[in-house]
Amino acid sequence: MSLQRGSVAVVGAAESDLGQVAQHTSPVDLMAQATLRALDDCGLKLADIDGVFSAATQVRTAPMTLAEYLRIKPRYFDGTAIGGSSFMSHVAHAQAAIEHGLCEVALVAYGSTQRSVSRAAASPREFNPYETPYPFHAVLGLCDGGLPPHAPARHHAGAAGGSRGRGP
Amino acid sequence: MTLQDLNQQSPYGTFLEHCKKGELAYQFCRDDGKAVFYPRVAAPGSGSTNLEWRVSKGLGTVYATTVVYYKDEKPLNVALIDLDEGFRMMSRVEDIDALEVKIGMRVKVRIHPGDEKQPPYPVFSPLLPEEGSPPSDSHRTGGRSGTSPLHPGERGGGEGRGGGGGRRT
Repeated sequence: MSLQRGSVAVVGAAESDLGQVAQHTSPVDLMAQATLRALDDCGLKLADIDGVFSAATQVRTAPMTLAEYLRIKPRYFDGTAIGGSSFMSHVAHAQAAIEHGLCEVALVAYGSTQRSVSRAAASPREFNPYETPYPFHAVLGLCDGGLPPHAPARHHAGAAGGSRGRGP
Repeated sequence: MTLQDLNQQSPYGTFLEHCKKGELAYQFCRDDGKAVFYPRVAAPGSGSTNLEWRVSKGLGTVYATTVVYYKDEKPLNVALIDLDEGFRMMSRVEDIDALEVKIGMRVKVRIHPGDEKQPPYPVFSPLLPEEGSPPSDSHRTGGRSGTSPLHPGERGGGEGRGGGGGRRT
């Protein structure tokens, strides 16, 4: 069964505070803030949310942690983590979940404090021992093949003859 | 709706400022009169932003306790504490053997100073019976007025927040 165009709608959208945030702000603080603003945007309440979709490199179990923070009990969770395309997949999965009656009001949320915290706290290392040209270099040490943005970069670079530095 | 400006101050940042003064801080929702912990940008459940910070008296009751064993280490206590102001938190009870921590035991907070890696954090120690009895005017569901502080076996009728009263994990 394929998804039906127009069967669901994005009814509320909002951003958290952006840029440098106060010390000790957590990614989930930001998700919660954006969630409440998005609810304000569409006139729904926290209790209306029955599906939670989230992923973040700084939070191990983002959908569950967010649901606990907001104290909501969703019928449906999705923590698909496939790098920067996680959130497109969350929206697609949310549409599927709604069409199949698994939930009715889906929250798709993301939060990050990677601009504000130390490199070490920004994200867990995902170490690829085979392809790490400078494993201990302060900056280039991050260029291991396991980091999500780099995997599509390699694919893209190959397909496009290596003309672009970064993937889609 | 006025949400906290996270560019200026964070909930955990405020909590830590209190910790540095030796205080256990929590939030209080002016809309429904309930304590909020851990601290958040909005009240859980309702989403209310009508929150204020309060400082706990630091007295509480052990709701659940367990002991964690690591190889070649002294056993570690992990406990859930019901603070008298009506919120529950995970912490540990110090100054006694980890196994001697009992459900229903009255405890008092103190702030561990932390170190370079770990900011200050609250821990608990047993309270002597004369130091503080459970609140008799408790409005919270977990209140167990009349329970002898150091005799957890005599708990009667108290309904814990999770239902069914204290439970050893």
